[in-house]
Amino acid sequence: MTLTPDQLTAIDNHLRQENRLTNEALLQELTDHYTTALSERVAQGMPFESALSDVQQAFGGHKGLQKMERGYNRITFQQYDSLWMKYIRKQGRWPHCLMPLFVFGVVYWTTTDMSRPTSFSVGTLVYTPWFGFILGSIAGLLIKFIQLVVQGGIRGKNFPYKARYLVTRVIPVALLLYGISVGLTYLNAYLPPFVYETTLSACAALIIMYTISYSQFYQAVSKGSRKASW
Amino acid sequence: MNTPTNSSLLKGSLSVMILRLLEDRERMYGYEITQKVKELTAGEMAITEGALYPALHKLEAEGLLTTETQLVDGRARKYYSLTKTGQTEAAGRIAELAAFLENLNLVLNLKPSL
Repeated sequence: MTLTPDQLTAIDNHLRQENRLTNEALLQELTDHYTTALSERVAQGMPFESALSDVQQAFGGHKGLQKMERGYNRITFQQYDSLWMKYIRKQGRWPHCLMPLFVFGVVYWTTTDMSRPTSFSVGTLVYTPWFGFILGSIAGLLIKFIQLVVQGGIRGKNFPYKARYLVTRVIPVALLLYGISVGLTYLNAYLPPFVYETTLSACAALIIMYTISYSQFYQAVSKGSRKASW
Repeated sequence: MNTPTNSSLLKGSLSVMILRLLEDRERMYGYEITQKVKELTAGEMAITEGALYPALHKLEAEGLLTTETQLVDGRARKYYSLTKTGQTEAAGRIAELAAFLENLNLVLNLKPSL
């Protein structure tokens, strides 16, 4: 028996609004399951509302569905992590490693040639192209995060999984790398020149590797090469 | 029927059941698996959806299952099938469970000593 458009809308609302699910890949699979199971039950004479409640109970109710999504997100994140690691490793291989090496060289040469900052100020942060790039990148990530939250909506404790990935993986890595770079400005006076120059250059090379690999990872996921598309 | 005891016994063997069903059929979707188990056991055993899908997702993450999505009646349906690794692993796990059940049977059929 085919369900009516209103009944199909009711299934969608049940999953998205009442059960607060956000993972599109999981929603797709559950929609098919609910539709097939409900069609059978309704064909056997069960009222639609009772059938809907019956199917939900088979998933362990609202809590069971939420738990399932959390587990599904964990698996999706593990797959994202290994995909991203693949692109990071690629940046370390020839000829892709040329770009990070070039950046390392340029930053090293620039820092040895230029006068080293002796104090930290907001002016240094804003007017230096290097730190401007850092602020721009973080702002870009935060804008993306807000965009994902607005698109997905916060449904109770269920945060959109894409936004969660940005918060738990992408942004912390960026903050760590940028934090070390900014921190070097503070530590500059206490560090031997060689350590300061090498660490800053390594950070710049890592940031380039991170930026390029993240861009490649994002494109791959957007194209749907993973089961849960971005 | 699924009693609490039945459910806990089922939990440990669920992944093997999924692997066995997919070994028999080329590809299956979630709801089909639940119905097949019900049909094979004449309704005596029912896999709950709350246990089935996490098990399917875990097996997929382990690389034992692969998925393909197909449009059916205008909606996407996700089919699961065994990967090459899954086929090898399925044979091993089924043999292991069969051996376990055989030994369990020996213990359960223990005749009282005279």
